[in-house]
Amino acid sequence: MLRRYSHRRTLNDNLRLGTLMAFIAGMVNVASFLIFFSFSSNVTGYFAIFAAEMTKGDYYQVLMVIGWIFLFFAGSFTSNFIVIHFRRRGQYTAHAVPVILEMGCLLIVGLYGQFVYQETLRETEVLLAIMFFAMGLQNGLTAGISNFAVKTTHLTGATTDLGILLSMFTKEKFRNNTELVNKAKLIASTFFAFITGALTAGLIYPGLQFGIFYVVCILLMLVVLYDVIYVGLLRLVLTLGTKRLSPTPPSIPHRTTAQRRALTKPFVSGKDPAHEKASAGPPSRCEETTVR
Amino acid sequence: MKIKSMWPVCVLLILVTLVGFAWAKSHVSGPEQMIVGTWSEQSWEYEKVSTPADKQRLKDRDTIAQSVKDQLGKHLMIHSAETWKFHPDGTLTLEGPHTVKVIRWKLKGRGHILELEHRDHTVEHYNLTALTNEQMILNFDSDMQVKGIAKLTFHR
Repeated sequence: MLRRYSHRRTLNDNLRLGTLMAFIAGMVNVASFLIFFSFSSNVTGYFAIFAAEMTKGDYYQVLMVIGWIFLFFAGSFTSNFIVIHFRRRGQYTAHAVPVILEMGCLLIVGLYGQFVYQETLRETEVLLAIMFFAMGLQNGLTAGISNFAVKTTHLTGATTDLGILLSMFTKEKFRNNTELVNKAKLIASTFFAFITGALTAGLIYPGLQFGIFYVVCILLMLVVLYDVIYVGLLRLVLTLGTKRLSPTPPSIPHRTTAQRRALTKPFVSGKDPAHEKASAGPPSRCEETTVR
Repeated sequence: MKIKSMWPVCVLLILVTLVGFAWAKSHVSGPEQMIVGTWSEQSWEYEKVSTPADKQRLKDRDTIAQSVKDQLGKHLMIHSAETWKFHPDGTLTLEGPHTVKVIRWKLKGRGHILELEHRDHTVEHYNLTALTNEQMILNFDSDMQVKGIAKLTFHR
């Protein structure tokens, strides 16, 4: 899910990453709305609020909105900064670090909310700021490593793209275009995952309250560990498979008595008849292995 | 540009942004400070109405009739309050013509949601549409017969 970068990513890589991350973003967005009365996974609306508050002259809210938008931006910047500058130290690690940071941010929100939160405005602002940063991290990572194919924290672009694609599919030549079909699959799955995440959060919030962030952290942990578990299992299967398929140790070729005699005789012509015979045939399994 | 030379630029940008933000924020009063004090209820208005008849009725008389207000107020805990006293410790004294009630207040979101919590843990939410030194406007949704968004205006 996190191992591959840009064009090397397969549709399945993007589908897994997009679906799980969109589910998480949907959960976080609804949780932030239910707890703090503000969305945290998209910033488009905040640009409108910024303009509205500016015209009203409410500079406190203008500053808050600027701060949150900046933190979303900063999260996205940090995420891609880590991805492009730390790839040499391991692509998987560079991709996993932003997810771990996001997990840390949301864990702080969950723990603080459950044990310390006094519901003051300052606390609300700071906790929301952390969530904006976390969502920026997530969007920066998914968009960055998928070559802008996967965006998980908002649906404005996805809705637009899906509308365009579905209108294109009214023509047969586009319906037969695998690339477009795959794109539609990816967007649709992201779309439904986001909604499912939002609904799930709405349903479990009354019981869990701030505990909802622990569920989100578990899901993020799954994203991080998926490749480790997958690669580990793959290696195990390959190892077991190789042992089962590995050739038996090469036995001493069966030679006739005449051949054995010929071998024991001193070379007269300087040619080894047994060797000559063997070299004339197809290459041995060992040779094949060596060549490979 | 190499990453080593980028670090100071990034750190400097972050520091400048943080300091600038903190400086600007310290020069602007927050809604938690501004709301503290005594507010007198001035009017109840409807910003949206469901039928043309309602619209005409409300046009004839700008503010809601006392009977309608009383009917609406059956579903609202604060309906009889005419003076709201916000205290810095998070308590709110609602003084009506016959009753005095003490509840708790909190601001949520970016300071645009007023949450009122009663002693029986009933919670009400109002949109803090405007808050200046002289005026406070609260909005709430009503799903009664007269559907629409009601607006409460207060003055100091």
